[in-house]
Amino acid sequence: MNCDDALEKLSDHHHETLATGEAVAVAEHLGACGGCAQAYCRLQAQLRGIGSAYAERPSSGTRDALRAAVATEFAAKPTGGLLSFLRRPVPAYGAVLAAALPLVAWLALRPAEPKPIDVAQPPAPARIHDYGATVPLFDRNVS
Amino acid sequence: MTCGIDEVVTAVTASDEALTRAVREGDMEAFDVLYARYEVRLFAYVRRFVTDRPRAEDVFQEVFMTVLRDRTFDPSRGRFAPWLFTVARNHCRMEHRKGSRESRALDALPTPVAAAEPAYLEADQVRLAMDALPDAQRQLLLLKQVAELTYREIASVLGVAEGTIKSRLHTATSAFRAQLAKGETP
Repeated sequence: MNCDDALEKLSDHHHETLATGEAVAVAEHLGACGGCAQAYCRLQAQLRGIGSAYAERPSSGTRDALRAAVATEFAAKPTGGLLSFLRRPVPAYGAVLAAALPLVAWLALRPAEPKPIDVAQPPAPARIHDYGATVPLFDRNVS
Repeated sequence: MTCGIDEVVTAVTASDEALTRAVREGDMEAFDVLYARYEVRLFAYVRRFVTDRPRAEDVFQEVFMTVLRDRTFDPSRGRFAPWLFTVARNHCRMEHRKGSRESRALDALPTPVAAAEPAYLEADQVRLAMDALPDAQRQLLLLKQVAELTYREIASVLGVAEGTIKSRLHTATSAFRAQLAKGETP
């Protein structure tokens, strides 16, 4: 890489927008060329200068006023947890789930349907055990 | 209220989004950490557009409160910084429009005699060079160098693709350096 190419890419190198191969080539050139290395340092200082030229802090009064406003507005309340739960954003599929809920509840709670009776094959008559009404009296084991 | 070291360390290392959630639940230690992170970055950004310092402080407070109040911002989904600077940008625009109306009214007043120009300091040279840039380039450099946002965050604030931001940043940096060089030439 020659100096013209390197100087053209200095800004992208600083902003880390070069592809890895190009970034390595620029870094190698900067390591070998004093003039380009100096130009790179100058660029970095100029861009840092933007940050420091505008670096300014709000007054402590502003900070205190904002802190007080936040404390008042977001003070922890006993109902805070419930309120934040109720206020939380609901995803789009939430409405579909909410609509499906009654259907699910109905399916789970509905009474079981009675079995249909097959008329062609009637059920066997119920057998009564241990009932001696039809058994002759003499067979009964009555003491 | 006392606060253990573990809690302080947790707050300091917590993400902006986690801190926002905590502030909304009334945790003022979380507010202090969040404030410290954005105090200079946000105020410097606002100050660039609102030249009147007391008004800039009001805008700074409004922006912070708007973001904390706004329930449409879900910290679990989005990044805090792009949202904060998007709100700041909108507030500054509104303020700028108001300022333009006021300055038109002030233009009717007689102009005071200008004082002798002081020798420019380095910071003044930077400001002059920045002022000479088109608004879009200035915004971009401020979001990168002052607000310290990533490319993705800047793309989110400005509503353009990340690749576009990278190429525009190259152009903006060259333009800024050209303006600085102009200022340095006697």
